[in-house]
Amino acid sequence: MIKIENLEKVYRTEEVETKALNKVSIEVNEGEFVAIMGPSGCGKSTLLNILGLLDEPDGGSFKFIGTEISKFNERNRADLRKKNIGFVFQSFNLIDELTVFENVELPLIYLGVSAAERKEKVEKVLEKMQIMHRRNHFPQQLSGGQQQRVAVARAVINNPKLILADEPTGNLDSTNGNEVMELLTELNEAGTTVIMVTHSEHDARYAHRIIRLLDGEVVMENVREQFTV
Amino acid sequence: MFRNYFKIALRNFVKHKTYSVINLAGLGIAITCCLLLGLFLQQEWRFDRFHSKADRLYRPWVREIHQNEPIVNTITPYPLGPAMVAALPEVEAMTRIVTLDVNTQRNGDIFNERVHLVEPDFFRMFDFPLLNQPPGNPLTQLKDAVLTEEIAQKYFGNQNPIGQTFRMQLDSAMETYTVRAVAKNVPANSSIRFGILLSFENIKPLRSQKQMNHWQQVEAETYVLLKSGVEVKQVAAKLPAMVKTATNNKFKPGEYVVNLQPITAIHLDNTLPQGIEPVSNPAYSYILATIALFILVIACINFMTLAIGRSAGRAREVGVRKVMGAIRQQLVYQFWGEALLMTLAAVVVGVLLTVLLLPAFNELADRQLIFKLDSTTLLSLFVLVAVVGLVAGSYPALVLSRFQPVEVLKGKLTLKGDQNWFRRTLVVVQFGLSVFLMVGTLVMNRQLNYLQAMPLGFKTDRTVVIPVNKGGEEGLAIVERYRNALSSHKEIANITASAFAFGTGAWADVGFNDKNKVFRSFQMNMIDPEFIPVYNIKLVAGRNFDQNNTADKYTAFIINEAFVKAFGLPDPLNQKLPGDFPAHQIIGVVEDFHYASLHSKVEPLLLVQRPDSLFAGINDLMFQSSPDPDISVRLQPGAVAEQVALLEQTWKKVLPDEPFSYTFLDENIASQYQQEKRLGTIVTIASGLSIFISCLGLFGLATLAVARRTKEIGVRKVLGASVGDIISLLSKDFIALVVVANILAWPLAWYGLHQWLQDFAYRVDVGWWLFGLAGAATLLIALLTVSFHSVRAALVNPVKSLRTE
Repeated sequence: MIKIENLEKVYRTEEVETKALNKVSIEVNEGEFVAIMGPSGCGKSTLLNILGLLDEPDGGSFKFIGTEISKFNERNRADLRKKNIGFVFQSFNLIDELTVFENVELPLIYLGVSAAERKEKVEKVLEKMQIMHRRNHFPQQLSGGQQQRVAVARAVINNPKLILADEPTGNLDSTNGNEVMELLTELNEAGTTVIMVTHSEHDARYAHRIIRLLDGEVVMENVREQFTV
Repeated sequence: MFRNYFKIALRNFVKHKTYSVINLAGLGIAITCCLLLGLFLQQEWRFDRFHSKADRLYRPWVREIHQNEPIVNTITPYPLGPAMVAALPEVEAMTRIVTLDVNTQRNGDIFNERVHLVEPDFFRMFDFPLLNQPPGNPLTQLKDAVLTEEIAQKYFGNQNPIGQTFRMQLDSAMETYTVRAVAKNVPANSSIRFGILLSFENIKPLRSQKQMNHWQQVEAETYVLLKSGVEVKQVAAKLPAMVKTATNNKFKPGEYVVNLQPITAIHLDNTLPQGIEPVSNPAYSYILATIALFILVIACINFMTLAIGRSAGRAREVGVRKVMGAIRQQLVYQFWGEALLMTLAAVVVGVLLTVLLLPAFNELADRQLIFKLDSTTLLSLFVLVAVVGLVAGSYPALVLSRFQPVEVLKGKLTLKGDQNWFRRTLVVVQFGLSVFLMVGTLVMNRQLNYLQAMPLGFKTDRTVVIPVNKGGEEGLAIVERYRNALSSHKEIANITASAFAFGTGAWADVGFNDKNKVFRSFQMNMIDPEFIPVYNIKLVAGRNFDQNNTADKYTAFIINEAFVKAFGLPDPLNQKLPGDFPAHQIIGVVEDFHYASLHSKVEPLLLVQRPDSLFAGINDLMFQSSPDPDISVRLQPGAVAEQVALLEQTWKKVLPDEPFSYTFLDENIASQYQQEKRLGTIVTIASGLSIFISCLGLFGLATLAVARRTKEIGVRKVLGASVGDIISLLSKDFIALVVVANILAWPLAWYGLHQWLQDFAYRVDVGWWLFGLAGAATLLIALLTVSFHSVRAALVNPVKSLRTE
């Protein structure tokens, strides 16, 4: 599904040049659950942003479902993104001024889905995430776990092929964290590819494969059977 | 999608109440100012455009060179109109308009009215509709009259006025006139303003044939209607030949030039002398338009600076929306939509405030403006919403929408250097405009106070002016009868009469050829011997007129110091006027006094009792107001109302057939500065509002700055910063901006005010201390506004500040 080769990303300020990603090559197959790990500043989030088409690489090749997209413009990337990718963030990133229902509905609006269809889909996913009773609440009226469930609901509302999760349990206690990880696992088992950035070895154990980064380079890839805790 | 945008806009509005209220109040007030001033300007700028043939209507005016001196007049000689009709086939219609101040009588009530004598074409040239009557000339007989609704109501109440009669004295006797039609009241934006129309033929018995044919005596305004499709240039080119033929070559080329002024240009052209009606100073319209624009810009800047201040908060939303698939264009629409929505709300507030404040504004501006939500107004409001919304919303729409999700979703967004500069520039512009208006207010008010406090050279207190609406010997007889009737009342200190009073119009303009045959001019008034003592005018040489000296009555002149200087009379009492005048004597010299408004310098003045011998030596005489006597009565200290009642009772007793009216001298004099006073008040209010709106913005920015720097404040306090340090930390940025605004605004304000003051012959200096005062005031206001937040922030426990991170 995803194939990147020799991907590079450089951040420049006036005096310093930092290589966030240095010739990174990774392949992720459809239906996989991959965790990306590494210390702070190793380039995990940069990689995730590029995979999520939020950021552009400075070099290398990026194939998404067989299409080379490293040279796509913003409009094309936005189009590809909204049809194929769902995001879950550490800080939830719900819009405070919108209710639970409206937050979840947002991607469908940008996809141009009709109001009736939106209502049906949102209600279905809220039921599934067990937060239907909170549909008219605003994010600040919910607990962290509930907010993240709303965020997951929003991420899956348009049945994306890929879910990118950036430290999805970072702001949650262990009970709520586990619930979210269960949700992601369920989604993966239903066929959705999941790529997750995490610091937590515990969360990484839900993944099939762990990619470890250090200073912008892949230092190790291991499958679940080889996990060492 | 739009429902979603609308929802977000509405919820943002409710959630961020401070900003919403600041924006709504600022824009609402600014829009109110714009609407009120716009109504005023619309009337000023659209004067006389209600005539359907306005584009073809012209008023001829004359520029005559007399002995090398130009004399310009919009009041024209009688033969001009007919000569134009005879010589120019392009002229479709013509009317002369002459006004007379007359006494009228209806059911025993006596009124003093100004009547307009017009020719038959009047009714097809202008759009002054007659009620319930086909268009056409209703004034077919000499004694026919057309009244406006207002006069008809005054004379006949609710009766049908058509066919009714009233009496009027144009000449020596009261005669009966019949109402043939009622005209709709003249609209406020008309340069022709009448209450009673009579046939032009009525002037003929009153003027000699010579006067009616004289090209150098002026009395009527002339209007012509050009045929459709005729270029005015075409007609203007033919005018010199027309003058030549009509005057039998009386003038050399260029000596007597007739020009055409479009009717729509009359009201705002103060370069020509005024005709029958006063005109406006166009500078005042521009000043008011500028003020309206300034206030609107200030309110728009609030919107933008607050949007920038809030951009960190909105950035995350931008990021999330982009991640969810929004493209930039959609976000541009969203933010512009929000700005338009806010502007729309502000327009609603503005319209409501306008309706509420219009009566007060009408009083302030001395207008009868009406606010109607007709198609033109709605269109203007639509344009206003569009322009203000697009301008005010341009920052969030164009800049916020450009934020990259990767940047804004991680950590907090900080303002980039250029955005910070942009915001600072806006604040500087905003305060610069406020300082400009504040300095304007200070200087304008200082100038007005200066004018009002300036010694005029004569006494103005407790003086009542009563016009006698009869001229010649009849007028003088009325003065004497009234003087005698009042002489026994001890409440009355003195009485005097003069052809022209103070503050009610210009005194006579007299032109003569001096010994070198050079055309010279001076001002003139006819007075009685009481005039100088009653008004306490100082004689610097010679003596006053002597009541008992018959020679004084006809041949003695008193001149002012300006006269002595202008005509070079080193020993005036032993010299004669420098022209070809019959035997006369200059018996006294008075100190210069300001008989005209302080817009002009004191001109040479000659005072005389009976002008007969003076007139024998002059070449030109111009009355800009009626020379019928005005009686001035100085009252003793006491209850003014009772004294005025006594004046009226006495008048009615001795002069039952004459209307009684009066004014107070000090009010007449103050009225000369009405235009400036109104402008001064409007500018004062506007500058107050502009500062208020600017401070609203500053308040909002300070709120945001404190919120943004909460952590910094906490850290600084932990490290030992005092409350004073924190206040100065938070205030100094804003104060610096206000200082820069002052420095930039001062030279501009100085230049603008310097130009305005050129209108006055006597003016204050634009003192530098005024700029200092405005600067200090804006600084203080800004400091107080910012300190509301900075003091609170400085007093917060640092632990709390740090915990918010």
